[in-house]
Amino acid sequence: MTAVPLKKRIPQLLIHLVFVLFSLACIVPLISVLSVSFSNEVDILKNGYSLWPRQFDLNAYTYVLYRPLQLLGAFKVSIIVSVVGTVCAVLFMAGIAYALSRHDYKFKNSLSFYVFFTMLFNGGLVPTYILISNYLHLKNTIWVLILPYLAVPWFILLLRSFMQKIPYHIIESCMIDGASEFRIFFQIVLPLAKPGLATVALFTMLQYWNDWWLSLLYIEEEHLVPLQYMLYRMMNNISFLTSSTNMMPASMKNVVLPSESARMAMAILAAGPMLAVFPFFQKYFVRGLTVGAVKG
Amino acid sequence: MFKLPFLSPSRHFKKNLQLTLLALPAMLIILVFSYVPMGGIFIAFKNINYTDGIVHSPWVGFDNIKFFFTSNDAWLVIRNTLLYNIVFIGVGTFMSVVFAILLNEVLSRKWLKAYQTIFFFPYFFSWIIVAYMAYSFIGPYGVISTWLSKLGYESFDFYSETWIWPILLTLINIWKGLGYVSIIFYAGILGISQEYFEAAEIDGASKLQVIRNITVPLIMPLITIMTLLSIGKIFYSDFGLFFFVPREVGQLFPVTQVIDTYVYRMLKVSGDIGMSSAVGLFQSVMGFIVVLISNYVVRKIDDDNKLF
Amino acid sequence: MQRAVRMSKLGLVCTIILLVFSMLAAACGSNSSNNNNSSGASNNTAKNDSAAADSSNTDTSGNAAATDNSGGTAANTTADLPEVKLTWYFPGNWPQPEQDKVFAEVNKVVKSKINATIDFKAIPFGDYDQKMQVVIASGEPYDITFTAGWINNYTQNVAKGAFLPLDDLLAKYAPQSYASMPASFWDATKIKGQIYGFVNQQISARTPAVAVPKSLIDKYALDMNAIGGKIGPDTLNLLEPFIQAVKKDNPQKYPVIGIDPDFFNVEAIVGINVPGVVAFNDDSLTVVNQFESDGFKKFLATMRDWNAKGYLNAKERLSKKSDDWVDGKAGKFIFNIGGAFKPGGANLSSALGGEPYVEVPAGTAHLTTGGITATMMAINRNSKNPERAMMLLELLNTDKDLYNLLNFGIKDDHYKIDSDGLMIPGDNQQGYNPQVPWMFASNFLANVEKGMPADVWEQTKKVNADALPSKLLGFTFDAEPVKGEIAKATAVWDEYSRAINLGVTSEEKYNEFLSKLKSAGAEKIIAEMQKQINDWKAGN
Repeated sequence: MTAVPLKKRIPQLLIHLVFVLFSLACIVPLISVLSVSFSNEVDILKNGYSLWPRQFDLNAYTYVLYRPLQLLGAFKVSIIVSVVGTVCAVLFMAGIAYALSRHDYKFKNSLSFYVFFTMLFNGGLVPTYILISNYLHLKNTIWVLILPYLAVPWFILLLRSFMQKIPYHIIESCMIDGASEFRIFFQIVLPLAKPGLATVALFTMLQYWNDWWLSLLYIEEEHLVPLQYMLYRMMNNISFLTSSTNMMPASMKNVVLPSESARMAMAILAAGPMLAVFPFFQKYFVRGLTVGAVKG
Repeated sequence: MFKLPFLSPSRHFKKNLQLTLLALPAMLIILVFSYVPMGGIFIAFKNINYTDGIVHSPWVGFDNIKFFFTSNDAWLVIRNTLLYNIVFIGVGTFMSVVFAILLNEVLSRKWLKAYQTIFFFPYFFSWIIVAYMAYSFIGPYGVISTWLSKLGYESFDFYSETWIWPILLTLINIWKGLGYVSIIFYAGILGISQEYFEAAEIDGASKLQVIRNITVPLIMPLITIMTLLSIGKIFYSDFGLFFFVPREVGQLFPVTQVIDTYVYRMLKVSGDIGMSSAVGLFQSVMGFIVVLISNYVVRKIDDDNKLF
Repeated sequence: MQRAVRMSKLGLVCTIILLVFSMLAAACGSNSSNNNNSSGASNNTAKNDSAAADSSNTDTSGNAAATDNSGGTAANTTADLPEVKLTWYFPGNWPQPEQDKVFAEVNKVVKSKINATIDFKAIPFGDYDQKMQVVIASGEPYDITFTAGWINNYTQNVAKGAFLPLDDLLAKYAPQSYASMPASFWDATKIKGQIYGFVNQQISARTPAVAVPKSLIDKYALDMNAIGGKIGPDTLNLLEPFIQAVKKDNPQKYPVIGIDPDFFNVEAIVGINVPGVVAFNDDSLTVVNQFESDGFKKFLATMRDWNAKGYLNAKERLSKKSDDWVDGKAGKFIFNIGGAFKPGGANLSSALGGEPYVEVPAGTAHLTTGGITATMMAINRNSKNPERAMMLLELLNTDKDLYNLLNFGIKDDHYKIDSDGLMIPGDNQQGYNPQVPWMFASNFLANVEKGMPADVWEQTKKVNADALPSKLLGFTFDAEPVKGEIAKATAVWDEYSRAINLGVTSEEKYNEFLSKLKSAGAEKIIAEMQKQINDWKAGN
């Protein structure tokens, strides 16, 4: 820090100013969620929201953590799915993205199209469900949470454009040396593509972590429910119950909804682990980036 | 340029085979989970009943989509969807590139890490939570109205002013995605060979010149591909953003209603699979056409940046 | 040209892979495709066949069970029944922390009584519609599902052939349940002359409840008896002096009035959000657009007037889709007109509102198709064991202990019975408290909660019996011919309803609302309803 010359310091300050402001915009809502999760429900309803709990209250957390084993189980599912999924997905996607990035690969264009087409068109909910549950028999297995995201077209095309930047002469010289494509891929391309791989790995992990859609459709057993789906269920129940009240049976109004503080507590618990893991991930991320950027 | 004259035909074959093998696992996954279900697209043209089964239900041609186009607001919601997407793509991409370039200029590693982590916070919260966050600020009991009243001003009624929502929704959307997208461009910038920057420094180029002549052109392929990919989804919209954040306030519908929320509301009662598939297919086909056109344009300008 | 060649090579590769894959799929999926084939045969005959096959396999045990009127589930038939697994989809406040424990207990009982185990598919409310849509469309051979007008749409599913007609099964395997309910109730479930829904009995007669906090009644001297049964769109002014008095001291409080067909004394053919209602007192059964009716206009005018007088706190409430009891708990209700009046209901309002509430019926209770069919079970047309599914429904509707186990959990753990025989929360109530008694079976079997009158279910039955049956009872609308119009009209309602309810709709906006409904096809919907009603009338 001390070594920064004055000429550079003013632009640096400006950049920091912009970033600190945006950081505030990211942190303040987080604080408001935290504050609500520690607040007394009735107090919020009576006196409105505030950035600091007026009455400190742990009710929401005792409600959400009533059965901690259940929550821990959901954590376990989420972690297994995210880790296994990310490792496999990055490997799979790097493979296809590498092939697509090679100008001299014969099927480059048609394969790109093959991948891209699925971004736009899909069979829709019902055919996919029939395939997965009636033919692949993946319902209520952990695989159904992993397999469908192993090859996400968006990430593949992103990776492809990262890999396109690997100087072709490196690959070329390996080929002259007689290295097989597999060797080039694993020993040359993967290390060189680290920034792209790290980015896509991060995104893939987030996708697995944040997904509730697959579990909504295909998971009916509690021990396979991931964390995000737990949160989603709670939220969705509420929006369902408050939006279709006038058609429900009379006794429906006795349904007690989890309080707003409980919902926020759940949100914190669901996002928290990723926020905690993120800096670690980033360490490798940044290291990966610098390694990748060394050679020209 | 990319022909390798010294490779024999058999080596070409071997190379292509090996590359195909590398691509195979992902190809299979895509085949199974995307192409096989695509066989069900015909549902969009059928009036499904379970007595006949999905396959043998009667064909109805384009009847399933008619309800959408003959509705009062079809054109309004298509317009909203397109305009929002254009603004999101334009402003979002611009902001992300700017942030990526600025991130690259941050000298302190510690700050860099802190910023990147913090910018990701919004991404972790589902739209339902974001809607609550927004409400806790702009709602009638929100922080903003509390402050306004403390300062002696009249409170501003966000949920009944239509003009402010296009701005709000754009801000919220960018706020949520900025950390995510800017990291892509940042990684792209880090992938640029240092030689370019060193050479520029030796030539005495200013920071702005470097950005204009080196950084931006070199991440242009990334920008292009990201834009092309978003354009494919231009007839879709983020359901969560448009459904939960405006809290279903009817008066705001003229500016907050998009295709996805509109169709959701229409089919809430009947829940017809054929009708919802038909609208989905329409969105896909339109997106496909737009992408084909833009890809064609990109190809004319710079063949390397094309999508396929 | 070049490209086309490349594509075709790729196509070849794909085709090969596809072939390999489909062979694999065919190998794994042979089971399910067989099911589909067999169910492709005509509905009734297939079921009768399988019923016949079942009973011949088991030495006519099915018939034995059916003719055994002492319960249909007597233990002596158990041994003869082959063991089966029944899959049951139902919504609710799931998951409950200890649901597996309770379900296991339930299964012990069910196993001993009808030699079946239940695969409980307890789906959260918010996911249920979506889930059932794909489950039903995929032809999955589940057995029982919860269905109603408001979730997993009953008429829609029947129209598409998702459910099995229950007439024969009911007579054979659920004689007690069948007899426990008036025939007119069963008529309400009929579609084209056949019963597809097994009604979970509960309060079926509908008129909104007027719930008022007791503290306000006492302080501002509101005579509840004077307003009970008299509140409708024309008579809301009866409440105005009370509002005015409360409002003067408590500007943060406001009255809540739900827009509900029963409030307007009409029967909605599809729902309040779709144009087309018949007034309860209209013998000619003329379908009209509720939004153009005098009652609705009157309501609109009153709300506007109240809003102008500052009663409704509209600004604050506009950003909420609906008023819920959370606001009541925050002390914001002057009164709440909505839901349905029922014996013991004030108990719930008090619990939800956080202070004692008193309830009276708003108008005269009416018995409508929608009220009766609000809670039903249906049997899948692809079910492999429809007889056993029906036996299970009979068991749940006749075995009080089993029902209460499923409903409230394990005695002395999740709930307790006090010395008066009334139910109070157990120490571990949080472990299992789904709060959906009408979900599992007849609500009349439920333990009486402390604070409710001891004869609450007798009272409820009486309310049901005394209610005026709607003249449309037994008519069900087939929405198929106008489903596009209904979709369009539904979206319109969403846009304007809240503003109307809060009195912020100008005359101009109201006319815009009507003209949008018109262009959405309101007239076509109403004409179709009228036509179907006329046909139904002619057939009766």
